[in-house]
Amino acid sequence: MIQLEGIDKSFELRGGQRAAALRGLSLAVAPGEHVAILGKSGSGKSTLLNLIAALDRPSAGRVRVAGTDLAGMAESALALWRGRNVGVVFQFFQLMPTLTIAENLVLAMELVGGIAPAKRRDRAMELLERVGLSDQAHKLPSTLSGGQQQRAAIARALANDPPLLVADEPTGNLDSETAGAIGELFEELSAQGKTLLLVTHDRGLAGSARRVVELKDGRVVADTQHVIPAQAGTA
Amino acid sequence: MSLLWRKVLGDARQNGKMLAVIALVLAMGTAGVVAALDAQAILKREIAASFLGAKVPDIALWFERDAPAAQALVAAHEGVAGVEPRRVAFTRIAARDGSWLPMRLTILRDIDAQSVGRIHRHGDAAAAGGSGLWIEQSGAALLAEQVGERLRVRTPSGAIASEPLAGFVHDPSVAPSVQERFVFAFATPEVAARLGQSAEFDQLWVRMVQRGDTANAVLLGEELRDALKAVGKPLLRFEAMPGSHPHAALMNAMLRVLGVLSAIAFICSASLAGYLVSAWMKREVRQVGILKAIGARWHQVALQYVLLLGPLVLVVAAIAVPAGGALGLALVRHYAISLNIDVVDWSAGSVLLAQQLAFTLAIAFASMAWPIVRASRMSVREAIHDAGIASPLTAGSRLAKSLTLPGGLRWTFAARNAMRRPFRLALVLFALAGGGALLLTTHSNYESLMAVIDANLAHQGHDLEVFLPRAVPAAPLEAAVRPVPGVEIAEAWRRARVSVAGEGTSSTTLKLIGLAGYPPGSRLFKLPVLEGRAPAEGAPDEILMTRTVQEPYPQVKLGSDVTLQFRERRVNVRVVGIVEEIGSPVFYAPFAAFDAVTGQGDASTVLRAKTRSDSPEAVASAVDQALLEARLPPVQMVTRAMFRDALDEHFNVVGDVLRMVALAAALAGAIVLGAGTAFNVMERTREIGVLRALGATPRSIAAMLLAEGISIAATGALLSIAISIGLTLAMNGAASRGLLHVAVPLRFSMPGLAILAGGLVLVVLAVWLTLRLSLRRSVRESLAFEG
Repeated sequence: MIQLEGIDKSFELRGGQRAAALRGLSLAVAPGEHVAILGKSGSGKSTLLNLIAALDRPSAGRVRVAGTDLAGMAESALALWRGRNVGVVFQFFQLMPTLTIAENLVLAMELVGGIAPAKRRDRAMELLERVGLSDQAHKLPSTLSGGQQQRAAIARALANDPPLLVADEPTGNLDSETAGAIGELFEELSAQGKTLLLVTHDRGLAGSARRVVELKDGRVVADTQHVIPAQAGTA
Repeated sequence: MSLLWRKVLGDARQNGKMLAVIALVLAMGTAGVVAALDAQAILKREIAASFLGAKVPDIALWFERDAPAAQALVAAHEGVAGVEPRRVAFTRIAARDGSWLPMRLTILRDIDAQSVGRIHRHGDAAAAGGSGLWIEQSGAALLAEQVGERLRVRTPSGAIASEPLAGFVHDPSVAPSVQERFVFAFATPEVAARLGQSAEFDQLWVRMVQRGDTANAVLLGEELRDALKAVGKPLLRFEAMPGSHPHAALMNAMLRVLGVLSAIAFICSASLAGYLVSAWMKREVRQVGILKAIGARWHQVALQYVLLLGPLVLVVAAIAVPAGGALGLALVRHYAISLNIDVVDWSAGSVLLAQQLAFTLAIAFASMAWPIVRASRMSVREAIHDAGIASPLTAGSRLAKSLTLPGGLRWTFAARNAMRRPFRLALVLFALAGGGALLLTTHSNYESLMAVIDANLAHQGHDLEVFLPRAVPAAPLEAAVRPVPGVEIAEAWRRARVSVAGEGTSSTTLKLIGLAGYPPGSRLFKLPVLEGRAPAEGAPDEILMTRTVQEPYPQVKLGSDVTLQFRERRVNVRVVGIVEEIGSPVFYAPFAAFDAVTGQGDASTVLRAKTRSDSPEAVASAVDQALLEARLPPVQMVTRAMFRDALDEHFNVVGDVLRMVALAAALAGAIVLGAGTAFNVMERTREIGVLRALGATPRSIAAMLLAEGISIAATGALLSIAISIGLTLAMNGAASRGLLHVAVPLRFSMPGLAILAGGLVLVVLAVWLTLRLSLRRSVRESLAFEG
């Protein structure tokens, strides 16, 4: 599903200096894998996620996701590819404030155009039912709790039925009980065959993953199955 | 340096561009206010002073001959402050391009010293021995001749005499020559004699000690008439002069418009500055939260922004006030020429300056301080928590939620986003609607006025009118003109000035108005009779009136029996019909009735002609030549186009300022919309990043944002149209009452609407440019954007 080869990513700082976020990173993720990415702040976890989700481009190296080489794709083509193949879940939900949560899902489908117009509303209700929010469908995001908003955001990420779901600190803004519920939701999605990639400091969330990749200074320092590093994710 | 000031300076460096834009907006608005108020104050004072300085006569006494013989008696009469003899003749003068312009020649004893009806030399005035013809300075552009060059003037017999241009004088009591299409000339009796005119004074111009109103002038005129009659020096007639500048109404309208200009300039700039600061504070929210989290209280937070903006406002004032003052003086110079006034004191006054400063700075400061205080009072949780694209539930968002458009959800999304910030939306719509309404109103008002003028002119059967200095029989007059190529119809008409005597009037209210006589079977009298009927052919006691007769004589109505007074004659007639015509009040009468009233017989002073040529001006020249050859030299020839142009010039006195106001306001509205749209895009960079993450292409994002901007612009345009209709109707009504004296129906300006549509182009440009910048960022950068 995901293949990264020799990835370098650096950012320009004021004064012309560059800071390297990823250095020669290579990673492969099979379809259906549930992967947690851990590391201290500044280790490059979010940068890695952004490259996989085509939210950013590498300085060097090759990114191949869902059978597509992302290098050289024009912005419009990249946007459509992203909409069809990657569902993104943000730490701060990022729901459109002037649309109801059902409308947020319909907008995602409308932007990509992969779901027939006549089926969009029904699909939105199904997804909200799936995440336990069908009775909140016609409410504005600001009237919902953080947990409800995150579940709505997950439903939106699934709107176009992408094979890959990426989430950057999806429970970073939630209390532990709510975070647990979100974690269970991710487990269900993984069980249904979605490929999941989660950046998290949450030990519980990381624990539910089948595979944990640890980054340090822009490099993979550990890649284990069913193991949670004792100090991983701590500042 | 204290930490607070270091932070303020650091913020100033970081937000330099924003502060520069705010400063520019405030400077423009302040300069506009200062310019308009200064110009208004100076012009109001100097218009009055200029007219007073001209010592305009209050009464004109006409004698058959030798007016100076009565001068001493008149001067000694109680209530008389000054008397001067004059003679006024009408003829024509050649311009450099060969055309002949109507000229009013005032003959006076001394060009340099008058106690009544003062004129003074203007510019360089050296000439051959100081003798020659003096021209009112506003006619210089019409004549295009230099001092010392010889001017060609028609004599009463039609011959051409020439006199050197002695120089230019300024007569502040007359409207500019370019508006009146008349050259005002002045000469001594010796020069007048060389031009074939009589050198004998036949008028005495009288200035009163205390004028009061026109009734007082009429009373004094009657006393003088009776006194002179008693000593065997009877008057032909007397006239109480208006006592105000011929364009007083226009000047007052222009002064009011300048006041409106200042208000608009200020409101727009204060609104825009407040808007910019509001948007800026939105971006500062996180910093506010952090400051408060580490212990700052709201007034301490507010203080740092106030300290940033306070000096800015002072710098703006230091630049804008002198700039506005200079602009105001330029406005005064422009209007000194177009209103033909003398400006002696160019200062606006220090009291006015202090008022301007206090008002503009205080209001500008308050409009910016309010968003600062509002942001400073935000709770820490609200401020720091604002890391996403969520916005609190407001009345605006509740209202927006109910808005659903047909078609795709993205259009509903765009429409709801437009309503997301009600205050900002209101500000943008206010600026847009106000500016757009003014722009549409000025254009619509002008088109309405010109449409009425064109409709009225179309009702006139003639397109050429010729005025003669003396009455002549109709037959030779018509015979001279009818054979001229291009002339289809030529009719000799008659004119006189009469007053209405009878119940409800007294001698003190007698006002002379025109009586126009048309020939039997006239093919050129085509004014539609709106009420009543046309006079019967040959009826000696039936007349028509224009509606405007009711202004001086409100008791005269359809069906009224009125007594018309012409000199010593009083004749009873009946008003059988009402017509409508632009201009002064007029009675229209068939020759039979005209003769009954005036007793003048076959004596015409006017010829009206209809031409069949595309160029009536060329036919007019030919008619002029034919009349000269027939020894019937005219003093004035007016084509329909000349009449229309003269009215256009009058409108432009106020129209110029109105258009300036409208353009400034519309520009301000467009800038507010463009800036607001650009800010909108910039503020929502993170949201745009989320949309891109969801799969939105740059094109679909641009479409949504464009739809948002265009929906605001379209709403503003609709409001502009609605407001402009009301304003145009009001302005048309004022023009109808004060200027044209006919109804002015609404004519909506399509060119004005097209200019407004140009504002949409600005929106598209602002969105496109800002979006380009926004889309240069990667999705990751957009999501991480802090503003």
